[in-house]
Amino acid sequence: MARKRTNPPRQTQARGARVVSAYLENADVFRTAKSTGTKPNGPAVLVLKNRPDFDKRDFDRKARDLQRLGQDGALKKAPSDRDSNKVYDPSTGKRRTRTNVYRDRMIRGLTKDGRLTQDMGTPETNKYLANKNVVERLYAGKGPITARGQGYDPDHIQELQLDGTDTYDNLRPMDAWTNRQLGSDISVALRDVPEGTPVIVKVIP
Amino acid sequence: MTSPQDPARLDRIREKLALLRRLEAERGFGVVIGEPTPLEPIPDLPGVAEVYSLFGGLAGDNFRFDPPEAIRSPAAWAGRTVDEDDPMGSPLAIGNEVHSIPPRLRGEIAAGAPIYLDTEDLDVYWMEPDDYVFQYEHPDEDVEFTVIAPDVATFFDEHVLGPAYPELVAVVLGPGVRDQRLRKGRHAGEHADSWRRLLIAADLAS
Repeated sequence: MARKRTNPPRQTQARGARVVSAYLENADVFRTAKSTGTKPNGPAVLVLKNRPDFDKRDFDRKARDLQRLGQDGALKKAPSDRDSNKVYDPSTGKRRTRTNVYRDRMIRGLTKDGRLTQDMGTPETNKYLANKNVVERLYAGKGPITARGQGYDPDHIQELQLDGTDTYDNLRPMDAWTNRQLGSDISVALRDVPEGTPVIVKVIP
Repeated sequence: MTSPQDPARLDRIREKLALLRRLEAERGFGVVIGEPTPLEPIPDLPGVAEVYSLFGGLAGDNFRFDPPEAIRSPAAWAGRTVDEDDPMGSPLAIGNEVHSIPPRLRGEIAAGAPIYLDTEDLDVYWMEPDDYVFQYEHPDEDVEFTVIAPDVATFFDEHVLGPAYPELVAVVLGPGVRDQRLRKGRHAGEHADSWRRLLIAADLAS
């Protein structure tokens, strides 16, 4: 039986103070415009801030890319459409997302004939163990993650909600905790921003 | 509707497990059916520890069900990590698909995508991994998931050890996997999934 969530979305639930990794510098402009039904002028200024629980390298890379894309005028608020680009998998009879296919391709690339590839060394060598660790983290990213370093997610370099494309060349692996928390904070920060509004990004390292 | 702790249902699961253990010992389907392992009941999760107490773990070609670490004792449950930001309410993974893991790697890789237990209403449900991540990243959106059973006891009785097993495979892995048959070998023409062959041999599923 297909069902949707019945509990309220985050931040409408009672909860304690929390450090956010993304907020709008000019949030009041968009809140006022939304309540008065007017159209705000100018771009939304999205501020990204690293958190101690994040993978710093992955955060920095993501934030730098979004900052550059914002400077290039490529970012605007958009609906996150990941359904129209799904692919049919004849072996399972299911439609799969691009991120799903991307994750499995990475796993296949790291394994060969159903084994961890021998060119990555033997079970006694660091190369093999590192390779195995990546495969384990890719699988772990299929489920809940509670801390940095537990799993990898395929991440849209230019977020779908910032008009990115759901294509393989816009995907790369990212620490799952950092990806999910940052993505969620960006989504909440852009809640009052009308679709089509240009977005620029500032980064607090 | 039966209670999650319905003794008749627990007895039925126990009987099915005994039958399957015997068939596995006789005919060697290649599945794992662990021996009973007593677990202390978790008051927040009526029926859950009671069901897992009936087997140490179950594993076939498509799924693996081991008692989650968080239910191994009331203390473990009290000390579990809860993600306050999880829009699905920090569900408990009660088992995993292993179909996506190459067979030769199943001893090395912990698990594939999880099957969830909602720790509030005790529903057992499946959510595509990418849908779960999308829901996490977009808490204002409402992403669909599939409720498989109203509680863990019903889930194991009907969907793991009973007639709804093919439906479980179709929901989690796809109808193509449900219908896969072996092309060669002594079991040619039979279902590729050893767990399903075992259930058919026990007359518990078709």
